[in-house]
Amino acid sequence: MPSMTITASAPHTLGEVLKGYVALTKPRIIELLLVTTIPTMVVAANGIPGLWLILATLGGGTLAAGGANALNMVIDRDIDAIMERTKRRPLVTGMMTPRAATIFAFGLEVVAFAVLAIWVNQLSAWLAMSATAFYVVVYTLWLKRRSRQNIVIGGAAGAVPVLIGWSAVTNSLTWTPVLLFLVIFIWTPPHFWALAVRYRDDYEAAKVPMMPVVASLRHTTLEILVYSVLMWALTVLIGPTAHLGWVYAVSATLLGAMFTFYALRLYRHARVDRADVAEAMRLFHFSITYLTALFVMMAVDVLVRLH
Amino acid sequence: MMFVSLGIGTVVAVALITVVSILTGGTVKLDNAQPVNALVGHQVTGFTLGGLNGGRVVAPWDQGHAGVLIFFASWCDPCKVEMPKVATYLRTHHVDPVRVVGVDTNDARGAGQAFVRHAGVTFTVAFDPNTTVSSGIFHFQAIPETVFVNARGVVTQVYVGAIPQDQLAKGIAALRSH
Repeated sequence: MPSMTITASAPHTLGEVLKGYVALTKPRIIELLLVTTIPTMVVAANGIPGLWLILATLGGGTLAAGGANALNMVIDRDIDAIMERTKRRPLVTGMMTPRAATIFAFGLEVVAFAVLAIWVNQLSAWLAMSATAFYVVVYTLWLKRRSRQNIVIGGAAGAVPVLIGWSAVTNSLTWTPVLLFLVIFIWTPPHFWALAVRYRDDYEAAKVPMMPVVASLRHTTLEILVYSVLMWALTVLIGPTAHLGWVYAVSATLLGAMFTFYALRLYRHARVDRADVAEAMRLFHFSITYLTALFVMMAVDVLVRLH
Repeated sequence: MMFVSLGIGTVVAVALITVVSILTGGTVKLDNAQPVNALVGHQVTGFTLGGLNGGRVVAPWDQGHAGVLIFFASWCDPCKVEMPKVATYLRTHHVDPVRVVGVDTNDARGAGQAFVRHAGVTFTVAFDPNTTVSSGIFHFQAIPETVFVNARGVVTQVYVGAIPQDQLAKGIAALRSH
Protein backbone atom coordinates (compact mmCIF):
# COMPACT_ATOMS: atom_id res chain seq x y z
CA MET A 1 0.00 0.00 0.00
CA PRO A 2 1.19 3.52 -0.67
CA SER A 3 1.97 5.65 2.29
CA MET A 4 -0.11 8.59 3.39
CA THR A 5 0.08 10.48 6.59
CA ILE A 6 -1.73 13.28 8.26
CA THR A 7 0.37 16.35 8.75
CA ALA A 8 -1.75 18.43 11.04
CA SER A 9 -4.84 17.97 13.04
CA ALA A 10 -8.12 19.56 13.99
CA PRO A 11 -8.83 20.40 17.67
CA HIS A 12 -10.04 17.47 19.72
CA THR A 13 -12.64 17.20 22.46
CA LEU A 14 -11.67 16.10 25.96
CA GLY A 15 -13.36 12.75 25.40
CA GLU A 16 -11.31 12.16 22.27
CA VAL A 17 -8.10 13.08 24.06
CA LEU A 18 -8.85 10.70 26.96
CA LYS A 19 -9.64 7.95 24.46
CA GLY A 20 -6.32 8.78 22.83
CA TYR A 21 -4.50 8.25 26.12
CA VAL A 22 -6.18 4.87 26.55
CA ALA A 23 -5.23 3.94 22.96
CA LEU A 24 -1.65 4.95 23.77
CA THR A 25 -1.44 1.98 26.16
CA LYS A 26 -2.51 -0.56 23.46
CA PRO A 27 -5.23 -2.15 25.62
CA ARG A 28 -5.69 -5.12 23.27
CA ILE A 29 -2.11 -6.24 23.82
CA ILE A 30 -2.44 -5.81 27.58
CA GLU A 31 -5.49 -8.09 27.57
CA LEU A 32 -3.32 -10.86 26.18
CA LEU A 33 -0.69 -10.26 28.84
CA LEU A 34 -3.29 -10.56 31.59
CA VAL A 35 -4.72 -13.74 30.09
CA THR A 36 -1.42 -15.49 30.77
CA THR A 37 -0.84 -13.92 34.18
CA ILE A 38 -3.89 -15.13 36.12
CA PRO A 39 -3.60 -18.87 35.26
CA THR A 40 0.11 -18.71 36.07
CA MET A 41 -0.79 -17.33 39.50
CA VAL A 42 -3.22 -20.23 39.99
CA VAL A 43 -0.52 -22.75 39.07
CA ALA A 44 1.98 -21.02 41.37
CA ALA A 45 -0.47 -20.97 44.28
CA ASN A 46 -1.67 -24.49 43.53
CA GLY A 47 -5.11 -23.03 44.16
CA ILE A 48 -6.78 -19.65 43.94
CA PRO A 49 -4.58 -16.77 45.08
CA GLY A 50 -6.01 -13.94 47.15
CA LEU A 51 -8.26 -11.58 45.21
CA TRP A 52 -6.30 -8.51 46.28
CA LEU A 53 -3.04 -10.05 45.20
CA ILE A 54 -4.52 -10.83 41.78
CA LEU A 55 -5.90 -7.30 41.42
CA ALA A 56 -2.64 -5.69 42.52
CA THR A 57 -0.59 -7.85 40.17
CA LEU A 58 -2.89 -7.22 37.21
CA GLY A 59 -3.14 -3.52 38.05
CA GLY A 60 0.61 -3.04 38.36
CA GLY A 61 1.25 -5.18 35.28
CA THR A 62 -1.31 -3.25 33.24
CA LEU A 63 0.21 0.10 34.18
CA ALA A 64 3.74 -1.09 33.39
CA ALA A 65 2.73 -2.60 30.05
CA GLY A 66 0.68 0.51 29.22
CA GLY A 67 3.67 2.73 29.86
CA ALA A 68 5.91 0.51 27.74
CA ASN A 69 3.39 0.54 24.89
CA ALA A 70 3.09 4.33 25.08
CA LEU A 71 6.87 4.70 24.83
CA ASN A 72 6.83 2.33 21.86
CA MET A 73 4.28 4.59 20.16
CA VAL A 74 6.39 7.68 20.83
CA ILE A 75 9.44 6.04 19.25
CA ASP A 76 7.56 4.44 16.36
CA ARG A 77 5.32 7.37 15.45
CA ASP A 78 7.23 7.93 12.20
CA ILE A 79 6.64 4.41 10.89
CA ASP A 80 3.15 4.20 12.41
CA ALA A 81 2.29 7.17 10.20
CA ILE A 82 3.35 5.27 7.10
CA MET A 83 1.51 2.06 7.90
CA GLU A 84 -2.19 1.79 7.06
CA ARG A 85 -2.83 -0.41 10.09
CA THR A 86 -1.39 2.09 12.56
CA LYS A 87 -1.98 5.48 10.97
CA ARG A 88 -4.87 6.27 13.28
CA ARG A 89 -2.77 5.94 16.43
CA PRO A 90 -3.06 9.01 18.66
CA LEU A 91 0.46 10.32 18.07
CA VAL A 92 -0.03 10.05 14.32
CA THR A 93 -3.29 11.95 14.30
CA GLY A 94 -1.89 14.59 16.62
CA MET A 95 -4.10 13.77 19.60
CA MET A 96 -1.23 14.69 21.91
CA THR A 97 2.38 15.70 21.57
CA PRO A 98 5.16 13.12 21.82
CA ARG A 99 6.32 14.95 24.91
CA ALA A 100 2.92 14.57 26.60
CA ALA A 101 2.90 10.87 25.75
CA THR A 102 6.41 10.45 27.16
CA ILE A 103 5.49 12.15 30.43
CA PHE A 104 2.38 9.98 30.63
CA ALA A 105 4.39 6.81 29.96
CA PHE A 106 7.04 7.47 32.59
CA GLY A 107 4.31 8.43 35.06
CA LEU A 108 2.61 5.09 34.48
CA GLU A 109 5.89 3.26 35.07
CA VAL A 110 6.43 5.03 38.38
CA VAL A 111 2.92 4.17 39.59
CA ALA A 112 3.31 0.59 38.28
CA PHE A 113 6.51 0.13 40.24
CA ALA A 114 4.92 1.56 43.38
CA VAL A 115 1.82 -0.63 43.09
CA LEU A 116 3.84 -3.81 42.56
CA ALA A 117 6.47 -3.00 45.19
CA ILE A 118 3.92 -2.00 47.85
CA TRP A 119 1.15 -4.55 47.23
CA VAL A 120 2.97 -7.46 45.65
CA ASN A 121 6.72 -7.68 46.12
CA GLN A 122 9.99 -6.16 44.98
CA LEU A 123 10.85 -9.06 42.68
CA SER A 124 7.65 -8.58 40.67
CA ALA A 125 8.19 -4.83 40.54
CA TRP A 126 11.71 -5.21 39.15
CA LEU A 127 10.61 -7.86 36.68
CA ALA A 128 7.99 -5.46 35.32
CA MET A 129 10.54 -2.67 34.99
CA SER A 130 12.98 -5.03 33.24
CA ALA A 131 10.29 -6.06 30.77
CA THR A 132 9.55 -2.40 30.01
CA ALA A 133 13.22 -1.59 29.53
CA PHE A 134 13.69 -4.64 27.32
CA TYR A 135 10.63 -3.86 25.20
CA VAL A 136 11.58 -0.22 24.72
CA VAL A 137 15.36 -0.46 24.39
CA VAL A 138 16.12 -3.91 22.99
CA TYR A 139 13.01 -4.41 20.87
CA THR A 140 11.76 -0.98 19.80
CA LEU A 141 14.98 1.02 19.65
CA TRP A 142 17.46 -1.65 18.69
CA LEU A 143 16.04 -4.69 16.92
CA LYS A 144 12.72 -3.73 15.37
CA ARG A 145 14.15 -1.78 12.45
CA ARG A 146 17.37 -3.73 12.08
CA SER A 147 16.85 -7.43 12.47
CA ARG A 148 14.54 -9.96 10.93
CA GLN A 149 14.70 -11.68 14.33
CA ASN A 150 13.12 -8.54 15.85
CA ILE A 151 10.02 -10.15 17.30
CA VAL A 152 11.72 -13.45 18.09
CA ILE A 153 13.95 -11.74 20.63
CA GLY A 154 11.64 -8.82 21.39
CA GLY A 155 8.89 -11.32 22.17
CA ALA A 156 10.67 -12.04 25.43
CA ALA A 157 9.11 -8.86 26.86
CA GLY A 158 5.62 -10.21 26.23
CA ALA A 159 6.52 -13.44 28.02
CA VAL A 160 7.59 -11.73 31.25
CA PRO A 161 4.03 -11.43 32.67
CA VAL A 162 4.12 -15.14 33.57
CA LEU A 163 7.30 -14.54 35.55
CA ILE A 164 5.57 -11.64 37.29
CA GLY A 165 2.47 -13.75 37.98
CA TRP A 166 4.60 -16.53 39.46
CA SER A 167 6.81 -14.26 41.54
CA ALA A 168 3.77 -12.36 42.79
CA VAL A 169 2.55 -15.54 44.48
CA THR A 170 5.80 -17.20 45.52
CA ASN A 171 8.25 -14.27 45.69
CA SER A 172 10.70 -16.50 43.82
CA LEU A 173 11.31 -18.01 40.39
CA THR A 174 11.72 -21.71 39.61
CA TRP A 175 11.92 -23.81 36.46
CA THR A 176 8.15 -23.94 35.99
CA PRO A 177 7.69 -20.20 35.30
CA VAL A 178 10.74 -20.30 33.05
CA LEU A 179 9.11 -23.07 31.01
CA LEU A 180 5.87 -21.06 30.78
CA PHE A 181 7.97 -18.10 29.71
CA LEU A 182 9.43 -20.28 26.95
CA VAL A 183 5.96 -21.29 25.76
CA ILE A 184 4.99 -17.65 25.15
CA PHE A 185 8.43 -16.90 23.77
CA ILE A 186 8.00 -19.59 21.10
CA TRP A 187 4.33 -18.70 20.53
CA THR A 188 5.18 -15.07 19.68
CA PRO A 189 6.93 -15.44 16.30
CA PRO A 190 4.22 -17.47 14.54
CA HIS A 191 1.61 -15.13 16.05
CA PHE A 192 3.25 -11.95 14.73
CA TRP A 193 4.50 -13.41 11.47
CA ALA A 194 0.96 -14.43 10.57
CA LEU A 195 -0.07 -10.80 11.13
CA ALA A 196 2.95 -9.59 9.17
CA VAL A 197 2.00 -11.80 6.21
CA ARG A 198 -1.27 -9.89 6.10
CA TYR A 199 0.33 -6.45 6.54
CA ARG A 200 3.50 -7.18 4.59
CA ASP A 201 3.11 -4.14 2.31
CA ASP A 202 2.72 -1.90 5.34
CA TYR A 203 5.92 -3.12 6.94
CA GLU A 204 7.71 -2.92 3.62
CA ALA A 205 6.63 0.70 3.11
CA ALA A 206 7.85 1.52 6.62
CA LYS A 207 11.09 -0.41 5.97
CA VAL A 208 10.59 -2.65 9.01
CA PRO A 209 12.44 -5.91 8.31
CA MET A 210 9.66 -8.24 9.38
CA MET A 211 10.21 -11.81 8.19
CA PRO A 212 7.67 -11.69 5.32
CA VAL A 213 9.32 -8.50 4.04
CA VAL A 214 12.90 -9.73 3.96
CA ALA A 215 12.30 -13.43 3.29
CA SER A 216 9.95 -15.13 0.84
CA LEU A 217 6.44 -15.94 1.99
CA ARG A 218 7.25 -19.60 1.41
CA HIS A 219 10.15 -19.31 3.84
CA THR A 220 8.14 -17.27 6.37
CA THR A 221 5.28 -19.73 6.47
CA LEU A 222 7.77 -22.59 6.83
CA GLU A 223 9.28 -20.86 9.87
CA ILE A 224 5.79 -20.37 11.25
CA LEU A 225 5.20 -24.09 10.84
CA VAL A 226 8.51 -25.01 12.49
CA TYR A 227 7.79 -22.77 15.48
CA SER A 228 4.28 -24.23 15.74
CA VAL A 229 5.61 -27.78 15.93
CA LEU A 230 8.26 -26.74 18.46
CA MET A 231 5.60 -25.03 20.55
CA TRP A 232 3.36 -28.09 20.34
CA ALA A 233 6.17 -30.32 21.56
CA LEU A 234 7.23 -27.92 24.31
CA THR A 235 3.71 -27.40 25.67
CA VAL A 236 3.11 -31.14 25.90
CA LEU A 237 6.52 -31.91 27.39
CA ILE A 238 6.38 -29.29 30.16
CA GLY A 239 3.28 -30.88 31.71
CA PRO A 240 5.12 -33.28 34.04
CA THR A 241 7.84 -30.75 34.92
CA ALA A 242 5.22 -28.15 35.83
CA HIS A 243 3.32 -30.78 37.85
CA LEU A 244 0.30 -30.50 35.59
CA GLY A 245 -2.09 -33.39 35.03
CA TRP A 246 -4.10 -34.99 32.25
CA VAL A 247 -6.51 -32.07 31.76
CA TYR A 248 -3.60 -29.93 30.72
CA ALA A 249 -1.92 -32.71 28.73
CA VAL A 250 -5.04 -33.40 26.65
CA SER A 251 -5.70 -29.67 26.12
CA ALA A 252 -2.12 -28.92 25.10
CA THR A 253 -2.13 -31.84 22.67
CA LEU A 254 -5.40 -30.88 20.99
CA LEU A 255 -4.71 -27.15 20.91
CA GLY A 256 -1.21 -27.72 19.55
CA ALA A 257 -2.61 -30.00 16.87
CA MET A 258 -5.06 -27.30 15.77
CA PHE A 259 -2.36 -24.63 15.76
CA THR A 260 -0.10 -26.84 13.67
CA PHE A 261 -2.98 -27.66 11.35
CA TYR A 262 -3.61 -23.96 10.64
CA ALA A 263 0.12 -23.34 10.22
CA LEU A 264 0.39 -26.27 7.83
CA ARG A 265 -2.52 -24.99 5.74
CA LEU A 266 -0.91 -21.55 5.54
CA TYR A 267 2.38 -23.11 4.46
CA ARG A 268 0.83 -25.39 1.84
CA HIS A 269 -0.97 -22.50 0.15
CA ALA A 270 2.05 -20.19 0.22
CA ARG A 271 4.30 -19.52 -2.74
CA VAL A 272 7.49 -17.47 -2.97
CA ASP A 273 5.74 -14.12 -3.22
CA ARG A 274 2.17 -15.01 -2.45
CA ALA A 275 0.31 -16.30 0.59
CA ASP A 276 -3.34 -16.74 1.41
CA VAL A 277 -4.07 -13.67 3.51
CA ALA A 278 -7.29 -15.18 4.85
CA GLU A 279 -5.38 -18.25 6.05
CA ALA A 280 -2.80 -16.01 7.69
CA MET A 281 -5.47 -14.07 9.58
CA ARG A 282 -7.18 -17.33 10.57
CA LEU A 283 -3.93 -18.47 12.14
CA PHE A 284 -3.41 -15.06 13.77
CA HIS A 285 -6.86 -15.08 15.37
CA PHE A 286 -6.55 -18.71 16.38
CA SER A 287 -3.18 -18.01 18.00
CA ILE A 288 -4.95 -15.67 20.44
CA THR A 289 -7.64 -18.25 21.17
CA TYR A 290 -4.91 -20.85 21.54
CA LEU A 291 -2.91 -18.96 24.13
CA THR A 292 -6.01 -18.05 26.11
CA ALA A 293 -7.33 -21.62 26.08
CA LEU A 294 -3.94 -23.17 26.90
CA PHE A 295 -3.50 -21.03 30.00
CA VAL A 296 -7.11 -21.31 31.12
CA MET A 297 -6.87 -25.10 30.88
CA MET A 298 -3.65 -24.95 32.88
CA ALA A 299 -5.58 -23.26 35.70
CA VAL A 300 -8.51 -25.65 35.30
CA ASP A 301 -6.08 -28.56 35.59
CA VAL A 302 -4.83 -27.28 38.95
CA LEU A 303 -8.32 -26.52 40.26
CA VAL A 304 -9.74 -29.89 39.18
CA ARG A 305 -7.05 -31.74 41.09
CA LEU A 306 -7.81 -29.78 44.26
CA HIS A 307 -11.11 -31.63 44.55
CA MET B 1 -9.04 -0.73 54.27
CA MET B 2 -5.43 -0.18 53.32
CA PHE B 3 -6.09 -1.76 49.95
CA VAL B 4 -9.07 0.46 49.28
CA SER B 5 -7.14 3.61 50.02
CA LEU B 6 -4.20 2.46 47.93
CA GLY B 7 -6.56 1.54 45.10
CA ILE B 8 -8.05 5.01 45.19
CA GLY B 9 -4.51 6.38 45.39
CA THR B 10 -3.54 4.54 42.20
CA VAL B 11 -6.53 5.81 40.27
CA VAL B 12 -5.86 9.35 41.45
CA ALA B 13 -2.19 9.03 40.54
CA VAL B 14 -2.96 7.88 36.99
CA ALA B 15 -5.50 10.68 36.59
CA LEU B 16 -2.92 13.20 37.83
CA ILE B 17 -0.32 11.87 35.42
CA THR B 18 -2.72 12.26 32.53
CA VAL B 19 -3.57 15.82 33.55
CA VAL B 20 0.10 16.73 34.04
CA SER B 21 0.99 15.25 30.67
CA ILE B 22 -1.81 17.16 28.94
CA LEU B 23 -0.86 20.42 30.66
CA THR B 24 2.90 20.20 30.20
CA GLY B 25 3.03 18.35 26.92
CA GLY B 26 2.53 21.46 24.85
CA THR B 27 0.02 21.81 22.04
CA VAL B 28 -0.11 20.10 18.71
CA LYS B 29 0.36 22.75 16.04
CA LEU B 30 -2.68 22.97 13.82
CA ASP B 31 -1.02 24.69 10.90
CA ASN B 32 2.37 23.07 10.76
CA ALA B 33 2.24 23.45 7.00
CA GLN B 34 5.32 24.88 5.36
CA PRO B 35 6.26 25.46 1.76
CA VAL B 36 8.74 22.83 0.58
CA ASN B 37 10.67 22.72 -2.63
CA ALA B 38 11.80 19.13 -3.28
CA LEU B 39 9.99 19.05 -6.61
CA VAL B 40 10.14 22.72 -7.40
CA GLY B 41 11.80 23.46 -10.73
CA HIS B 42 11.34 19.92 -11.99
CA GLN B 43 9.20 18.92 -14.91
CA VAL B 44 6.55 16.34 -14.06
CA THR B 45 4.74 13.94 -16.39
CA GLY B 46 1.08 14.40 -17.17
CA PHE B 47 -1.72 12.07 -16.17
CA THR B 48 -5.29 11.10 -16.91
CA LEU B 49 -7.46 9.98 -14.03
CA GLY B 50 -11.13 9.15 -13.67
CA GLY B 51 -13.23 11.92 -12.15
CA LEU B 52 -14.49 11.41 -8.61
CA ASN B 53 -18.02 11.92 -9.93
CA GLY B 54 -17.39 10.29 -13.31
CA GLY B 55 -15.77 11.46 -16.53
CA ARG B 56 -12.04 11.92 -17.05
CA VAL B 57 -9.61 14.44 -15.68
CA VAL B 58 -6.47 15.33 -17.61
CA ALA B 59 -3.48 17.12 -16.07
CA PRO B 60 -3.90 20.86 -16.88
CA TRP B 61 -0.38 21.15 -18.31
CA ASP B 62 -1.15 18.35 -20.76
CA GLN B 63 -3.66 20.79 -22.27
CA GLY B 64 -1.41 23.81 -22.12
CA HIS B 65 -2.79 25.25 -18.89
CA ALA B 66 -1.11 26.06 -15.63
CA GLY B 67 -2.68 24.12 -12.80
CA VAL B 68 -3.09 23.78 -9.05
CA LEU B 69 -3.48 20.26 -7.71
CA ILE B 70 -5.01 19.98 -4.26
CA PHE B 71 -4.46 16.51 -2.83
CA PHE B 72 -6.79 15.33 -0.08
CA ALA B 73 -8.65 12.32 1.34
CA SER B 74 -11.86 11.97 3.28
CA TRP B 75 -10.04 10.32 6.21
CA CYS B 76 -7.52 13.14 6.60
CA ASP B 77 -8.40 15.40 9.54
CA PRO B 78 -6.61 18.57 8.39
CA CYS B 79 -8.29 18.19 4.99
CA LYS B 80 -11.64 18.56 6.71
CA VAL B 81 -10.53 21.96 7.94
CA GLU B 82 -8.84 22.96 4.71
CA MET B 83 -11.31 21.95 2.01
CA PRO B 84 -14.37 24.09 2.89
CA LYS B 85 -12.16 27.21 3.01
CA VAL B 86 -10.50 26.37 -0.29
CA ALA B 87 -13.90 25.61 -1.85
CA THR B 88 -15.30 28.93 -0.67
CA TYR B 89 -12.32 30.85 -2.02
CA LEU B 90 -12.51 29.18 -5.43
CA ARG B 91 -16.27 29.74 -5.69
CA THR B 92 -15.78 33.44 -5.20
CA HIS B 93 -12.61 34.14 -7.22
CA HIS B 94 -11.68 33.94 -10.87
CA VAL B 95 -8.59 31.86 -11.48
CA ASP B 96 -8.63 31.60 -15.32
CA PRO B 97 -6.58 30.52 -17.14
CA VAL B 98 -5.21 28.53 -14.22
CA ARG B 99 -7.09 25.29 -13.64
CA VAL B 100 -7.64 23.97 -10.14
CA VAL B 101 -8.00 20.23 -9.76
CA GLY B 102 -8.72 18.42 -6.52
CA VAL B 103 -7.21 14.96 -6.27
CA ASP B 104 -8.97 12.57 -3.89
CA THR B 105 -6.17 10.15 -3.11
CA ASN B 106 -5.91 6.81 -1.28
CA ASP B 107 -9.61 6.98 -0.57
CA ALA B 108 -12.89 5.16 -1.12
CA ARG B 109 -15.06 6.71 -3.83
CA GLY B 110 -18.25 6.99 -1.76
CA ALA B 111 -16.43 8.61 1.16
CA GLY B 112 -14.66 11.03 -1.19
CA GLN B 113 -17.93 12.02 -2.89
CA ALA B 114 -19.59 12.73 0.45
CA PHE B 115 -16.52 14.69 1.55
CA VAL B 116 -16.49 17.09 -1.44
CA ARG B 117 -20.27 17.52 -1.31
CA HIS B 118 -20.07 18.41 2.35
CA ALA B 119 -17.18 20.83 1.75
CA GLY B 120 -19.07 22.59 -1.07
CA VAL B 121 -16.47 21.82 -3.73
CA THR B 122 -17.41 23.08 -7.20
CA PHE B 123 -14.08 22.61 -8.98
CA THR B 124 -13.00 19.46 -10.85
CA VAL B 125 -11.99 16.55 -8.64
CA ALA B 126 -9.99 13.57 -9.90
CA PHE B 127 -10.05 10.19 -8.19
CA ASP B 128 -6.69 8.65 -7.39
CA PRO B 129 -7.47 5.58 -5.26
CA ASN B 130 -4.19 3.82 -5.96
CA THR B 131 -2.10 6.99 -5.46
CA THR B 132 -0.68 6.66 -8.97
CA VAL B 133 -0.46 10.45 -9.18
CA SER B 134 0.17 11.43 -5.53
CA SER B 135 2.84 8.78 -4.90
CA GLY B 136 3.75 7.88 -8.47
CA ILE B 137 4.36 11.36 -9.85
CA PHE B 138 4.76 13.55 -6.77
CA HIS B 139 6.24 11.05 -4.28
CA PHE B 140 3.99 12.26 -1.47
CA GLN B 141 4.38 10.97 2.04
CA ALA B 142 1.67 13.19 3.43
CA ILE B 143 -1.56 14.94 2.65
CA PRO B 144 -2.97 17.49 2.35
CA GLU B 145 -0.53 18.87 -0.17
CA THR B 146 -1.00 21.47 -2.83
CA VAL B 147 1.15 21.60 -5.96
CA PHE B 148 1.44 24.52 -8.38
CA VAL B 149 2.49 23.53 -11.90
CA ASN B 150 2.98 25.94 -14.81
CA ALA B 151 1.70 25.38 -18.37
CA ARG B 152 4.93 23.65 -19.36
CA GLY B 153 4.56 21.05 -16.59
CA VAL B 154 7.23 22.51 -14.31
CA VAL B 155 6.45 22.54 -10.57
CA THR B 156 6.65 26.09 -9.28
CA GLN B 157 5.62 25.50 -5.66
CA VAL B 158 4.65 22.68 -3.29
CA TYR B 159 2.74 23.35 -0.11
CA VAL B 160 2.63 20.62 2.54
CA GLY B 161 -0.30 20.67 4.95
CA ALA B 162 -3.55 22.59 4.92
CA ILE B 163 -2.97 25.58 2.68
CA PRO B 164 -4.08 28.97 4.03
CA GLN B 165 -6.19 31.14 1.71
CA ASP B 166 -3.50 33.78 1.21
CA GLN B 167 -0.95 31.17 0.16
CA LEU B 168 -3.41 29.69 -2.32
CA ALA B 169 -4.20 33.13 -3.72
CA LYS B 170 -0.51 34.01 -3.97
CA GLY B 171 0.32 30.77 -5.77
CA ILE B 172 -2.51 31.20 -8.25
CA ALA B 173 -1.57 34.84 -8.89
CA ALA B 174 2.02 33.80 -9.60
CA LEU B 175 0.86 31.26 -12.16
CA ARG B 176 -1.52 33.75 -13.82
CA SER B 177 1.15 36.41 -14.20
CA HIS B 178 3.29 34.19 -16.44
